[in-house]
Amino acid sequence: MNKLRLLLLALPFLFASCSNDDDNKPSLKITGHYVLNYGSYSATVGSLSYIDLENNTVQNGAYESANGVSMSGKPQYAYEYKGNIYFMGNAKDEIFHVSADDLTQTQNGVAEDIIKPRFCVGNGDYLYISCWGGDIWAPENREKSYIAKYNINTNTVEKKIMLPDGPEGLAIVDNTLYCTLNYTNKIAMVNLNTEKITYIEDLPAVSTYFIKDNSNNLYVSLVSSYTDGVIELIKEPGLGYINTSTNELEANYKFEGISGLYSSVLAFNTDKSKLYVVGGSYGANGYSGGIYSFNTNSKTFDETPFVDNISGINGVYYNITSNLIYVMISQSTTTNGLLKTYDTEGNIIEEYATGISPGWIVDVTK
Amino acid sequence: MYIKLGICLVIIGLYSFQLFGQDTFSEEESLFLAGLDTVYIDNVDVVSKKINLYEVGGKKETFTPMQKQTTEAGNLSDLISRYQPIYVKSDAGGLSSIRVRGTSDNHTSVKLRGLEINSQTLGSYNSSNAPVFLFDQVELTYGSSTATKGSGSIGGNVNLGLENKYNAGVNSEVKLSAGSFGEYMAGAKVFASNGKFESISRLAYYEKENNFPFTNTSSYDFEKQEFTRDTQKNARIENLNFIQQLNYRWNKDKSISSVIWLAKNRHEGQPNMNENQNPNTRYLEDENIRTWVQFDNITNGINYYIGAGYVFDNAIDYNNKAQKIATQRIIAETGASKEYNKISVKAGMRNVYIKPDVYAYDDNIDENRFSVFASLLYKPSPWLKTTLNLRQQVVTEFSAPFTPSLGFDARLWYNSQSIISVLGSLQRAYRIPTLNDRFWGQDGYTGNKNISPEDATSYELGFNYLYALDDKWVANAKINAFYMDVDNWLMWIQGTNGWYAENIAHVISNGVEFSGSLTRNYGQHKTTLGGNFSYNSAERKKSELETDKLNEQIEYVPIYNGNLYMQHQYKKWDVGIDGSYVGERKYNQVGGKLDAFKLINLSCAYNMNINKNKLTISANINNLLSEEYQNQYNYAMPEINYRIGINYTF
Repeated sequence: MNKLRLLLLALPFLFASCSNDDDNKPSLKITGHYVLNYGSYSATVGSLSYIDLENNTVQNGAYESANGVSMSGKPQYAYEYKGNIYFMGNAKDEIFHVSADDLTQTQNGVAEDIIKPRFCVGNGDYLYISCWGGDIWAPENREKSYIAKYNINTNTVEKKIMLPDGPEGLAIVDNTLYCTLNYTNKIAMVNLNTEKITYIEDLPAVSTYFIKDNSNNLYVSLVSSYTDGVIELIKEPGLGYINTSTNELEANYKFEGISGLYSSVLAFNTDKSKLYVVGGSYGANGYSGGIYSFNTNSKTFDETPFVDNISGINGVYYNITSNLIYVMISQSTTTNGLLKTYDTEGNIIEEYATGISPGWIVDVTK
Repeated sequence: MYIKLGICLVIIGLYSFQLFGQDTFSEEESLFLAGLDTVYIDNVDVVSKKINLYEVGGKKETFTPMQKQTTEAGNLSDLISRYQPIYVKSDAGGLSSIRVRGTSDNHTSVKLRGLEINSQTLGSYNSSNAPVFLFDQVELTYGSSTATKGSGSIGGNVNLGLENKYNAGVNSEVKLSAGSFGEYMAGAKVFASNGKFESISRLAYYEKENNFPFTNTSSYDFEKQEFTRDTQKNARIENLNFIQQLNYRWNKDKSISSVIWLAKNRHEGQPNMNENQNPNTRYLEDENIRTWVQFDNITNGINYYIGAGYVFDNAIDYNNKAQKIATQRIIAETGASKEYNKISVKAGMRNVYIKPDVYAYDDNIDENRFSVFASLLYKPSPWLKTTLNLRQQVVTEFSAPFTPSLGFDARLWYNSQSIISVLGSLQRAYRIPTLNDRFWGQDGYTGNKNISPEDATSYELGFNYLYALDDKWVANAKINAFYMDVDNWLMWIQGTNGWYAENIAHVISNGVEFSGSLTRNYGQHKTTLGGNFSYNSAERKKSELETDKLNEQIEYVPIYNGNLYMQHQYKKWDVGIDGSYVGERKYNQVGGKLDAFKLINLSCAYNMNINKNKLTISANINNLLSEEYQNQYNYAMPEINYRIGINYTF
């Protein structure tokens, strides 16, 4: 059966065609990095694209190849944990998982107590999953959002920890679950022993994602919002820094154009001396996006963008093995996205076509 | 010889107008072609006639009475998708859009008299909201007609026809039908006139639970290793439409006509297959008030008219009346025309004032769209007519292009039984970006006030063949080739901080369309066999997006599309079978395709005369082969379904 699955996985790779792979041998390698493509509401479901750096290709449709069917919806996020890849499926709303070894799905997704899942983080036998619980953008629904405590052994939601105002990105430090909130200027902290919730308040903007530094402190994207009732809370978007010992916002490094997209907008380099941040601005030629490099020692942004003038920039990722920076680009919801790779000097190395709306990288090399 | 020719041509004309529904060869046209314009054939006053006079060289289609009757309990999308080679992108009833010749849904304008029905915020019209029962005729113009119809008519135009009959007396019609999946329709029409004053009331109510079974190809049961068999949920439709006409005619040269169309159409946004188990229901409601009043007079051979209208469109999403999406329009138009021996001329002006009330716009937005237009019809000989149409629009803080069009229609050859003619046109067309495209401002979605109008150039060439042997055999065939070049194609694209509107693509659409029919009368039998076929290549040739695929068929445009129908009448029976084929369509640019499908439908009606009244009992079987298909990616469509109805005219 496993051989059959391997063969199924390999088949499309034999026929796959990308801009640079015509002369390359097919690859059966199933560890490495996958691009998570969200898809689009009207044009397709989500998908995975395998980045084969050895053969200099990106092979699209990896999930379909392994399972013979398309994904059941559009994954907001995917997370490798304990041998599986867990997907936060949207429309339809469910958590489903595949084997990180061969991408096969053998169990149906779990929809009970899962409404608009966003992001997750693992701790022991549990995933903590941020869920919007409904149409969070409507003020009357702000109370519906929650954190789902999902048991990965029983594949059930054991508990819903109600957390209003749209939890998004999550991080765990010292048994505390830090939760960004997308519809208020606070960050929530859930004590995982007592499940008591406290807040860091009066942030200068709303928050979306964390990234943990070498001191277990958290950088956080503090972004703009145009939602009625929330826009008034936006004072100064930027890159925040949370001291997890004091649970205070220690600093906010102003960055007006920091990306508010729900995708991988923060990425550290190998030694975490540089933090790559997705951002952009609106100018005479429309929106122009780029990657901005933040020096974590000097606590300053580099004067010039790492790369700029990228239309439709969606996410960034740093490959610590190859020291390549992946830039994910989505210009349209009906056509393929792009994955552009750069060296640490900002020179473009290669460009690959991905599925629709690439947003995250799933690392299965660990 | 000429008398015989004239009789044949009259038969051809009547058949083509009333049976085949192709008014390019209406009786007037045929007689004109034959040079027999002294013969007068009484006809109903279809309001678009004055416009059509100057629209020469393009392809127009209408529908046979039986085609209309077969789909009368349904909506405009049902009628068009079943009998024309036009792709209608739709779900299972609540939402659909007409896409003509490879263009988008907002490139087809839908008109009722002097009113454009398309939403000013979205640009398109949901053709599921138009009950076929309400209208006396539906006329399709293929290709561009901006010069005569204004902004938006790049791909095509649909004209919803209402007749002014002035037949003395009171006549009524009642229709009731019931169908599968909780479908019910009730309609009534009352015509009352004393020959001068006329009142016509039309009412249609339609509801459908839409809870049909289907195979959910987006829900794979990994434990059973099969797709789930599902039942469509949350797709209920409930439409109510009322049209009132009040007309007064002093004499045949002087009249005033008015129409008001009140609509309240509510449907649940059909969940796609992925979300079918989602318990949340999304209600979408359209409230519309559309009015038009027109005074027509002929004095000293000059036909002049003045018209005015008011339109209120209100779209309610999720029952959320606080987030208002409403527009009001005040329309005024006047014009005059005069016919000489060989020349007819027309000129006029039109102004549309638009005041939106949309929660995502700034408060102070309003807009004037002023147009001047002129048309010339020149008939240098009995076998040739040519037209020139000109239009210039001026829009508040927006630049609209000058729009000319040229057309011709020439008889190539004829004998006592046949006519072959050639027609062609060259048109410039455009579309003013919608209000949403320019003024929307919301978290993650931003309109762009600096975008340009979409700009198109269209070429068309066609040949028509008509044949009539007494009244035993009547046949026609048409072939049309078209080439359309659309620049500044608008799209919403993703920036770093959300979506915004931009002129992105350059699209070329070209193709060939064929339509034909053959009618045989023998004894008490009459059989009509007909069909339509289209080949349409529509490709992006340039794009501002580096990821767009160039020189490939664009989404939701089938390369092949066609239908066949056969109708047979015998004594009191009408029976019909029709089939449509829609070719493979892309739904994205990364290889996603919807499979081709074919639908076969049966219809049967029995007509009884009760005193001077007429009772018709009808039955339909739709999708006879229970084909599983999609008209829009991931939206289920019903398999085999049934409908029965009665129609009583008294």
